[in-house]
Amino acid sequence: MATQTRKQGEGATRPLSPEEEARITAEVVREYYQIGTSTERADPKALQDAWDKLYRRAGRKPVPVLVVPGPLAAHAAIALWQAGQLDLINPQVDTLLDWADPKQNGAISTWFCGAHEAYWVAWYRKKERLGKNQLTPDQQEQLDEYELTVRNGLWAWPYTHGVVVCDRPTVCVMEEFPPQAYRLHCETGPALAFLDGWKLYMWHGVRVSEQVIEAPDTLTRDQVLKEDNAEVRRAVIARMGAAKFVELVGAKPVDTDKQGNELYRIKRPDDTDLVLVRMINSSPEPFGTTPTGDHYVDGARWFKRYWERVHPALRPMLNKEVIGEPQKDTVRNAIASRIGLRGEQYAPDFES
Amino acid sequence: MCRKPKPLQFIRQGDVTLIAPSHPSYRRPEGKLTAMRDQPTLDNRLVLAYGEATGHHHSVDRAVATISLDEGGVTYLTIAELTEVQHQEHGAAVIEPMAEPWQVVIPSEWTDAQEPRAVVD
Repeated sequence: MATQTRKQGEGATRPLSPEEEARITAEVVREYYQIGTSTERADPKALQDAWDKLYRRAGRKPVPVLVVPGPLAAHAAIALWQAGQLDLINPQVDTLLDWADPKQNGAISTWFCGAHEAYWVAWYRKKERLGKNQLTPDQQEQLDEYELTVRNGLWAWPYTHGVVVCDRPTVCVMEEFPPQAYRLHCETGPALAFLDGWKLYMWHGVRVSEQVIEAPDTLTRDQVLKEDNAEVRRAVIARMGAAKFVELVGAKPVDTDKQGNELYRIKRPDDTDLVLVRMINSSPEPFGTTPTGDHYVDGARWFKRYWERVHPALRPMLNKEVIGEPQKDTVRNAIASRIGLRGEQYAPDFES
Repeated sequence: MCRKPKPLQFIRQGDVTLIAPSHPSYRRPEGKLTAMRDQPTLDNRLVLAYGEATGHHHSVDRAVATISLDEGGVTYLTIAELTEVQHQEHGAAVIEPMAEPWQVVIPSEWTDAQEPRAVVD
């Protein structure tokens, strides 16, 4: 992984057929996906060479590169360096073409993504290998230098007197979803983990707690109901099992519409009723994927399901100040109440 | 002869609902509209709603769009030309410029504090 291999574009010497273009594109995607998700240890020497080149290009003297075992360690190192009042510089602005022009996005990134920028380098390499390269020789050289940081380490924070580079993860588990796209997902442990102990648990691209992945049997009804984030709530229900959640909630739907959305009313002693609407996502999941967890299947298509709590009297809720009058227990009224409308007002002419 | 399709007036794109001023459910802005200058942007797109757990977002081209709040805290979207609201999962919804701004609604859910809060995902 330490050295870069630039392949000459086949399309530079002869026209390519659509099949050849597709094959070359797939090769580039495969190669750079492996770079982006590599769990090999970073190469300090290659990184030092890469950053020496970048600093020289920025008209600065090369500085030492410090490779640290993970993002926690990186932040600790940066805090120490900043305590020494070192000036932050940003070679991304000084060099590397004008791709990072701060005027374009109103923000200056103070870190480099390293391996996680592999997709971005791949975009240029694909053009190169298809013979459609439009970079000048100087830009090409800058891209080569930049790619060295991508191929040999992960995130980097460049300073005046040194560069902190995060080592690659020890675990990086992705799923292909939809075809030819990827997201973090692991059902048996962290989807991303580093030597310094920092890790991420991910359920089909949604960040969840360790318990959701490692001990789903211990999840409780209250954990679901108190979860603030609708996507995380959906993931938690999927892990504990939708049937188990309905059983724990202890209710049957009081209304169901023809789309399959459901309304639940749960009586609670000495408290207001808990009223939940179980909705089907308006967009089907991509073709070529298989249902996961709490889902609704309609023929060949499948949809995610979400649970949301509504006002006990289904009053329309536009915001804290604008609350409408009570409505009858129907799915339509419940769904409309979420956006401050009454059931009879809710008639989208486009849903996705 | 092809008939021009009826412009969309009530659009639901996942967790974002857009209501045109011509729709009966539209809520006219209360008092003065104040542009939200600090609205987050990503790749030159104004973010209407951001998914914390997924990184997905609903966004519009910042060159043609302004997001504002009325005095009641309701969100509105003014667009200068035909544009798309885009989302990684829900695709694109085309919206047309109107004489008045589009109303933007993020759904709310009820809480134990006995008040609504905006749904986050």
